[in-house]
Amino acid sequence: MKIALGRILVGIVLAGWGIVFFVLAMGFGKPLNPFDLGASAFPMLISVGLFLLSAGLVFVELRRLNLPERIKVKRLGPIMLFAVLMILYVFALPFAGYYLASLVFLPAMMLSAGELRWKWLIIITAMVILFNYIAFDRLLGVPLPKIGVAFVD
Amino acid sequence: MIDGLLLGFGLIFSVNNILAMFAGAVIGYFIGAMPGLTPSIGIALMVPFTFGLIPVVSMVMLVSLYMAAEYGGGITAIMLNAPGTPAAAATAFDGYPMAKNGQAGKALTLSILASGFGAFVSTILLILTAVPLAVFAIAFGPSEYFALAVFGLSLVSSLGGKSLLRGFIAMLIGLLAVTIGMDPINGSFRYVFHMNMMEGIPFLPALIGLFALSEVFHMLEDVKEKQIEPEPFRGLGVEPSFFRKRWFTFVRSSVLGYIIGVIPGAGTTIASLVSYNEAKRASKEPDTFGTGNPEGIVGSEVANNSAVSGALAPLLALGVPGSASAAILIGALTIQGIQPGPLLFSKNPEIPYSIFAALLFSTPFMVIIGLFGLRVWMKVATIPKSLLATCVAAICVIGAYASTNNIYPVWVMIGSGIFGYILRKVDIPMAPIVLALVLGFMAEVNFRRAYIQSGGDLSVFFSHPITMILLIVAVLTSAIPIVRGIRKNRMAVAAK
Repeated sequence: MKIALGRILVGIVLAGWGIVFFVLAMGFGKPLNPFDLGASAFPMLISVGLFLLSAGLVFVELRRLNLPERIKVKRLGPIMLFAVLMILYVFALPFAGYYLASLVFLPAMMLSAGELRWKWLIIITAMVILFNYIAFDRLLGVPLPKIGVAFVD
Repeated sequence: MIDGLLLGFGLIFSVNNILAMFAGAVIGYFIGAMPGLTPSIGIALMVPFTFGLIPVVSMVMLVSLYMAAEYGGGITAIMLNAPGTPAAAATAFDGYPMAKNGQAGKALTLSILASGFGAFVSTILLILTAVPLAVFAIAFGPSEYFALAVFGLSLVSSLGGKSLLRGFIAMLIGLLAVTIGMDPINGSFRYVFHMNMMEGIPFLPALIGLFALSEVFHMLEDVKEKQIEPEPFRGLGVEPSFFRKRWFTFVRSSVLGYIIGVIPGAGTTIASLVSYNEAKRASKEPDTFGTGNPEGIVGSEVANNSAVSGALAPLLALGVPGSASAAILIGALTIQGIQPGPLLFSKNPEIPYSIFAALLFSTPFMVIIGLFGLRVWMKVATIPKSLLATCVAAICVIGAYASTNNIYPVWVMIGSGIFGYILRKVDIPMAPIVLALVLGFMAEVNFRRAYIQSGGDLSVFFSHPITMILLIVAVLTSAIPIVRGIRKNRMAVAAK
């Protein structure tokens, strides 16, 4: 994809955000103090700014569409797989707990990243889990998610 | 004062205090290097361990930890593009490109030496100026804080990268993100769709996502490419001439960092960003900043350590915390039965003077520990990217989780990471988002406070001298790069 086209798409999304944030800010209610600008003033001001500048970006990049510069994305498939596995990992944390979720998802993430040597999958998974256990759970007293913590909440 | 200093230095040279300084420096180094754990979290975690210690030993340990943690944040910023502390974000701008170019050793050495320099010089400044500067800073009202925030935001024109338009868009994205959560003046909710969002977008997880996770995705693109071997590393890895040529950057960053640190609430992050910008502005090669200019590391690292001493000035002189970490230190002092404030120097002189001495003498500990750890950290650059990406992703997850013991910040981190990756692809810079996340709240709250206090009179922003000066400097800071850019374009057109 041409970088100008990428910027146009991002500009359109950001301009859309500007509109949505502005409309939502209109419902924030009136200020309690007669001299207060209220909860909506700053968000409205910023959303207008974001809309205008994003529209400006779209306009500027439309004129650059004939330039050859392209967005460089290599290995999009593995990156997306890695991101999905990471999201599943975080989703699993409150249910399966840190240790079980890490045992399953860290090797899977490494595999998706292209690491096929089983020795390293085991060593790195063990090292990361052990390090976080010692550093957070033991030394710093920051408890890592336990199995079923989501059900307790 | 001389008597007090002699007392402080006399107290510090006991086995207990030296051990406390060493322990504080090691723990701070470790906490700073962990993305998600800030110096304030580190101090809070250590306070319970100081209950049984005498006040001087306890403060010596906590102050050494505070200083070393600010340094530690730069290590992961350089090696992994994952700032261990918010203030280290500016270190990553040039530190990480240096590490990618095989200059990890040089970048790490510079960061530790710059931190040590900042810590040492700012402690001298603290000893000499703590009381008068703290009194000056306490005179800051809402209009001055607003002007300070505007000045900080004006740096976007030089930190915004190649395009001013994209820089300002990035700043507005950050400012809009700051408005999410509870309204700071009247308590109503803004853009809150879930109870977790009531406190807004957590800053540190957002920062970890924008920098570290987006870098993980970037690393995954290059897993098949050959690793860059770190350059051979002898001695300190930095030529003495570097320090001779850049001495003014060291001094300027120390003074800037210290002064910004003194202003309550301004903090180390603003200090490092402002100082980084000044280093870039004053440089003969400003275009090389962001691509691996060692002066960028100096600007950031000197200032964030100087701001630590600065934050202690209002604490010691007035009992007012200059930062979140200083607030926890006040708590630690109060637990020990000591009331910080104007009477501290006369009632408990051993406390402020032993803190001065601890700051001075913990600096060599910090530098030695940093230099010893350097070669170990350099090995990170040789780890295959497929493994490193997973390790960094796992640290990002746990770092974000540890910031509040909650899964919500982890989702924020992942969202910010994916968003940051997309922005990087279309060349929208990250630095203005960081600026806005740090300063947006300060700008809005103080503008509204000043406006309410003045009864709706806008002249409050033009009648206070400090406010006026800061606003004029902000206008100049934004305008100069714009004018320069226009002039450059005209010259290019004329040359064609």
